[in-house]
Amino acid sequence: MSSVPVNGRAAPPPAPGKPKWTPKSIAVWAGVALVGAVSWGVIAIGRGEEVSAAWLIFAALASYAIAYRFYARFIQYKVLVADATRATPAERLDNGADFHPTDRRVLYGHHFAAIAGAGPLVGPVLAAQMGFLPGTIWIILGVIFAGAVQDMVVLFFSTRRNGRSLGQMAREEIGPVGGIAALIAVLSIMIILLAVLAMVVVNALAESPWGAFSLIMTIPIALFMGVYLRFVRPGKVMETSAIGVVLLLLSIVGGGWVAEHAVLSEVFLFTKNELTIGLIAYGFIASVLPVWLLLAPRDYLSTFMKVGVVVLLAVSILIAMPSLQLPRFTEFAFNGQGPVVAGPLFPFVFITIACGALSGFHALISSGTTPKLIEKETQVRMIGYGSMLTESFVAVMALITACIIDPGVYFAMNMPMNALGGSVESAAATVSQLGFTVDAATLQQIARDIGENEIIARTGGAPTFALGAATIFSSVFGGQAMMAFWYHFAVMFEALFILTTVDAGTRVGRFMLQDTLGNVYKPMRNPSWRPGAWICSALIVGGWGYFLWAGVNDPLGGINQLFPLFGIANQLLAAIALAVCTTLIIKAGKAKYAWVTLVPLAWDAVVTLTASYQKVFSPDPKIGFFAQRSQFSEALANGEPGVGAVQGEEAMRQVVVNTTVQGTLSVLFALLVVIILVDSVRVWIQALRAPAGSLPLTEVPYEKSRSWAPDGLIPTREEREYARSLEGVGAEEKKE
Amino acid sequence: MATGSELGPRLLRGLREAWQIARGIAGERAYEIYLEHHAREHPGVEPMGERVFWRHHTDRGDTDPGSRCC
Repeated sequence: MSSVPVNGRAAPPPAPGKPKWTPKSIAVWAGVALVGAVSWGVIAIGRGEEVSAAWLIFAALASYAIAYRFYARFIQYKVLVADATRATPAERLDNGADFHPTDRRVLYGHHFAAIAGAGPLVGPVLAAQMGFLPGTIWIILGVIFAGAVQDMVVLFFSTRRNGRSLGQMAREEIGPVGGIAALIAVLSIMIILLAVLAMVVVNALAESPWGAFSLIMTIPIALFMGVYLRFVRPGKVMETSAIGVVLLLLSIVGGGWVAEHAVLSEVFLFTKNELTIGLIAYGFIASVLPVWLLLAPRDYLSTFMKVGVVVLLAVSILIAMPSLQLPRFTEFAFNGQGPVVAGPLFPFVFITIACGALSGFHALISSGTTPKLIEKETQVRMIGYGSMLTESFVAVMALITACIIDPGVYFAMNMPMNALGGSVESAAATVSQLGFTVDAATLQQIARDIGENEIIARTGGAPTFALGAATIFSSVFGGQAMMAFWYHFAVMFEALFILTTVDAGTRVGRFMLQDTLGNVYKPMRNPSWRPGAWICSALIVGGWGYFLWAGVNDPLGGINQLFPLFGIANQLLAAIALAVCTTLIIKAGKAKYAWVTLVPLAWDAVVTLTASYQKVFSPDPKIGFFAQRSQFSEALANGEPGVGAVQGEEAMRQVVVNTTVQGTLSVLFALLVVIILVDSVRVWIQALRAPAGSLPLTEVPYEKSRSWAPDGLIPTREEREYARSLEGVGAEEKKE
Repeated sequence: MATGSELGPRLLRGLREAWQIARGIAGERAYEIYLEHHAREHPGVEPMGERVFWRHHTDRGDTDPGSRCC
C-alpha cells in the first residue's frame, strides 16, 4: 500500500501512540521478550562449551524488535511529535527530481544503501580481540539507545527544515563556532576514513594476484556499464546491474585462473606500496572523471552486492549455525595490551566499533538526501531508526564471522607483521605465546584452502571477515571446494564497497573544500570550474594518500595506529549531531525528554574524551602517541639500534613522525569535542531560561498535507481501514 | 483469508509490487517520476525524451555526488 490522496472532507488519520493491546499482541510481544531474554542469557552466562552464533542473531533481532516497537515509537510520537498531516519538504517542494515524495519502502532501501558501507564489517572484526561479548553488547545496546536514535532524530529535524545539512543546522542552532567545528570535523573524518578504508583494501590485496585481479576487473566492468547505460540502454539500471554482477562473478572465477597462471600471477602480484600508489592515482582520476562513466555504475554495482551479500550471509548463518570459537572475554579486554588495536575495553571497544552502533557519519545522510524524499514525517522511525537497526545487524554478522574462526588464526591474521616476526613459524609461536595455540601447518593449510600465499598479518579486518564468511558460505553452498571462491567473493565485495566510498568520499570532500575555499576565492565555488576541481581533488587525495602511505609503511602496523583515530573522529561527528539534536529538542519545548539524545551524547563525550586523553597522555607507549614518540626519540638520541620489534634508524624515525602527526590529531579532535559541548551547553541554558515560545523556531511553518501514507513497513489494521475510508471519500467526490 | 483461486493473483500482485520497490531502490523509476511530475505541473509542454532525461539525470551527479558512508 503506498500513499493515498487526502481531500478537504477526510477524517483525521488514526491517532498514533495508542496501540490497542489484544490478547494476541500481548502473547506475541511476551514471546519476543522471552526469546530475547533467553538468548541474552545464553550469550552472557551460558554454561555450554561453545555458544552457537544463532543466539547472537536471536538476541539481536528480539532486542531490535522491542526497541523499534516501544522506544522508537515513544521517540517518534512523544518526543518529536511527528505529525502525519504535516506536509514534508518532498511534498511542498516537489520538483520531480531531488525533492520528491518517495514510497517509504523504496526510501528505506535508499537510505540503508547510503549509510551501510565497509565500516560495520571492519570495526567488529577488530574488536573481537577482546572476546565476543563486549562487541555484541555494544553493537546491540549502542544502536538502540544511541546510533539509531541519532539517525532518526537528525532525519526528523532536517525534514522539518527542508533538508538542511548537519553543518547548516549546527551553525543556525548552536552558532558560528559550532558550525566551523562541524566543518573541520567533517573534513578531517573524511580524510582519516578514506585513508583507513583504503588501507583495508591494500592489506587485503597485497601479494594476492587473485584478489587484485578481481578488484581491478571491477574498473573495466564499471566503465562498460557506464557506456552501456549512457549510449545503449539509457535508464535500464536493473538490467545493466544484473549484467555487471554476472561479469563480477566471472572475474572472481577468472581470478582463480590468474592465480594459477605462471605469467599472469606475477603481473597481478602487487606489493603494498604499489597498491598504495595505484589507489591514490585511482582516487584522483575517479574524482575528476564524469560520474556517468565510473562512479554511477560502480554505485549501482555495490548497492546490488551490498543487499545481496547481507541477505546471503544472514540466511547462511541461520542454516549453518556455526559455533563461536572465541571466548566471551579475552585478557586484552582488561589489560589493554591487545595486539590488534591497543587499549582497554573502556573506552576502546566503543571507539573501534563505531559504524553499526553509533556512527556520526550517518548524520550527514540523514540530513542530506533522505529528508528531501521522505513522504511523511511519521516515517522517520521506519527509515531512520529501522535502517540503522539493519546496519547494526550487519555488524553483528561481521562479529560472528570473526568469532567462528580459530582464535589462533584470528590473531595470526590481525597482528602486525613486525610483532609476528615475519614467518609462519614465528607467527604461530608468537600467537601461541598469547595463549591461543596454533601451529604453522594450520596457518599454511588455511592459506592453501583460500588460494592465497599467506594469511599472517593480513590486518584491516577484511581478510578475517572474508575467511569467516567463506567458512559459513562454503558449509552451505559448495563445501570445501568452494572455499577459495567464497573467500575472494567476500574480499572483492568489501573492496568494491570501499572503492565506491573512496570515489564518492573524495568527490564529496572536494566539493566541501571548493565551497570553503570559495569564501576566499569566488570561482572555486563553481563545481564545473576545472582548475578548482583538479586542485581540490589533489588536496583531498593528497590528504588521505599521506595517511595511507604512512599507515602502510608504519613499522607498528597502520591499522593498529590509525583505526582508533578514525573511531574517535567518527564519534566526534556523532557528538556534534547529538548536540544539535539535544539543542533542537530543548528549543522545541520538550526539555523533559531531552535525555533521549542527552544520555547518548554524554556517553559519547565521555568515551571520546577518555580515548583522546589516553591517546595523548597515557604513559604506556602502546597506547599514548606522545609516550610512544618520546620512547622512540630517546632511543634514537641514545643511538640504540631499535625498540622492541622495530629495528633500524629509519623505522624509528618513521615512528617518531607518525606519532607526532597522530598525537596532534588526537589533540585537535578532543578540542573540537570540548568546543562543541561548551557552545551547546551555552545555547541550552539560554533556551531553558527563555520564556516558552520566545526563541525563534527555525522550522518551516505547518502546511497541511494533501496525501496520507502508512507509518511502518506493514500497514496496521487501523491504517488499512483509514486508507479505505479515504478512497471512499475520494470516490464520492468524483461522483459529484 | 485468501481462498485458492485468489492466491495466484494476490501473489502476482505482491511480486509486482516487490519488483517496483526494487526498481525504485535502484533508481530506475526516475524517468517515470519525472514524467508524472511534468504532466502534473506543466501540462501541454512537451517533456524531455528518455535519452536526454537520463543524460541530465546522471550528469547532475557531477555537481552533487550524494553521499556514501563508511
